[in-house]
Amino acid sequence: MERESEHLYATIVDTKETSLLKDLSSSISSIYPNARLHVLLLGASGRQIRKLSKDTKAATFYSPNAIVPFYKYLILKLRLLFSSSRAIKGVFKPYFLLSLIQKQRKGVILIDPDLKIKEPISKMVNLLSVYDAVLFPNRFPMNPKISEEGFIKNFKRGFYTSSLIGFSKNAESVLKWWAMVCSYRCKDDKKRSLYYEQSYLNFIPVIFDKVKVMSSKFHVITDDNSDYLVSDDKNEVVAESTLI
Amino acid sequence: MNIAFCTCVTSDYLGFAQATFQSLNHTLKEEASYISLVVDDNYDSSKYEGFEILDLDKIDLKKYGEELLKVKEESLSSRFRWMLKPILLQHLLKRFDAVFWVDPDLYFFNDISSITQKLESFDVVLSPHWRSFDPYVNQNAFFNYFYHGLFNGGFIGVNKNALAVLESWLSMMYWKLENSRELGLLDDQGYLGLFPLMSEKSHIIKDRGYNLAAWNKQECKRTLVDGKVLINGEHTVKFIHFVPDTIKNILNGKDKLLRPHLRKYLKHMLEIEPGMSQLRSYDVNLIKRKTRKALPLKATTYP
Repeated sequence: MERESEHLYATIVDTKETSLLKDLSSSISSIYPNARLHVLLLGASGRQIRKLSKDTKAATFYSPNAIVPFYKYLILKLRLLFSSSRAIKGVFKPYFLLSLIQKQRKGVILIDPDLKIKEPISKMVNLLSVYDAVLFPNRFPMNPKISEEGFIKNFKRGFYTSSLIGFSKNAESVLKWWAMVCSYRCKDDKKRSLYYEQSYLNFIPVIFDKVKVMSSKFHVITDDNSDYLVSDDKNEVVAESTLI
Repeated sequence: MNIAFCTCVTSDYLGFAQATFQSLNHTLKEEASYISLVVDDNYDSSKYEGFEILDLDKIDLKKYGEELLKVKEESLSSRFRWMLKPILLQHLLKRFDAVFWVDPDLYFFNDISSITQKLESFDVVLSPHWRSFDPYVNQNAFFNYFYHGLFNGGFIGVNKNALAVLESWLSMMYWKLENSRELGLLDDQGYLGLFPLMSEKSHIIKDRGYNLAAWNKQECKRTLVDGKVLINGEHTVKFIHFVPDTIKNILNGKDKLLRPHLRKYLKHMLEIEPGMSQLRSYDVNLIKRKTRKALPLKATTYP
């Protein structure tokens, strides 16, 4: 099994979601006992961050203005002025991961705060020594006759989940590109089938070389795809939303 | 590995198919077969050479259900021909280990065997459009991916392990075969993005010398290095997708480094169809005028 110190585990929460951190943190430490969770906290004051840091020992907290240069932070704030919290979280995903990689020179695994990760995640983490990005397909149905609504989600929501993604320490160019397109537009744009930051993941295997799409037997169960995933002995659940 | 290249045309486009296949045959450093399915019978087979013409009645369409026959009866439209893509590929995989679909407006300039050989280890080969990946540089081109899909339907490779993928592709087309901007579907093409999810052994071409066209000037920069056109300063021109906009761009100087390639293509087309009557979707007179100087209009043997 890979040593915990080789990679960082990261998530993004707003102040309403901090209660989820305990479960996420313990699911990570059940697999990687010494792992530290890096949390980007949106919409919190310095005081709130200090308090959370004191209460949650296994996590390091960051505020958004600490992860991007000041001028970029201002531009992003202006662009995101009327955006939903979902969009803001989406935009900050690549910026946060990029900042962690640049500062710590380690690979990073992004996990949405409602996910509980399970042991098969180590298979994904190990792949980061070979690949720069590891993606999990959403696993929406491929047959419109079985579920038209589910099949359409492939196009409406994107092929890969942004709830659990891994990037190696060499993935700067991938994350810079993702950050660039997210800063341009990050919303649920139904006319374009753009779904926040997630749809842009479709491009990553096309543009970049060292990208691994996890095989169909590994499932990430989110509230978006839980209706369509069939439990099977051959399948391995890598992560499951605690909100389903 | 025995390889075939195939396409599907109405009989008035057989000349295009011949040019595509002959350009492949001339540049490819390995043996291959060339087959064009033709959906009508208004042609004189003695006019064409270097490839096999497959009549539609050689394919058992009945087994694909009434719906396909209905589409056929309605017309021999592009819709019907798009549906024939996976059917033809499946049909030919009975005879060949690997089959490439090539649109009849592709023209090859350099060897592509490094890609054909990929089908020894991969089951599917896909060719990206290479529209701009930067919305700040070209918003329209970037968001076109959301309307037209990630991959170009003009060049697709499959081997025998991809039969199930082809079956799924066909069933998706039965479900919807239209230009739906909202869903990001352009006819048969939008579904290609799902191929890497259906087949873990999908290879995405990264060489920017493939599929050069009007829409990828930014991502596939045409450069002149030591008198040779290279893409992004490193890749040779493998093939150009000569849709009308590509030709117009070259002629009006927006893509002038590809002018020698267009000359070669048109010269070849003129040999096959001296009247150029099939190049009718753009201004034929303009092409003749612009290329007359450099283009010997007398037929010569190709190549």
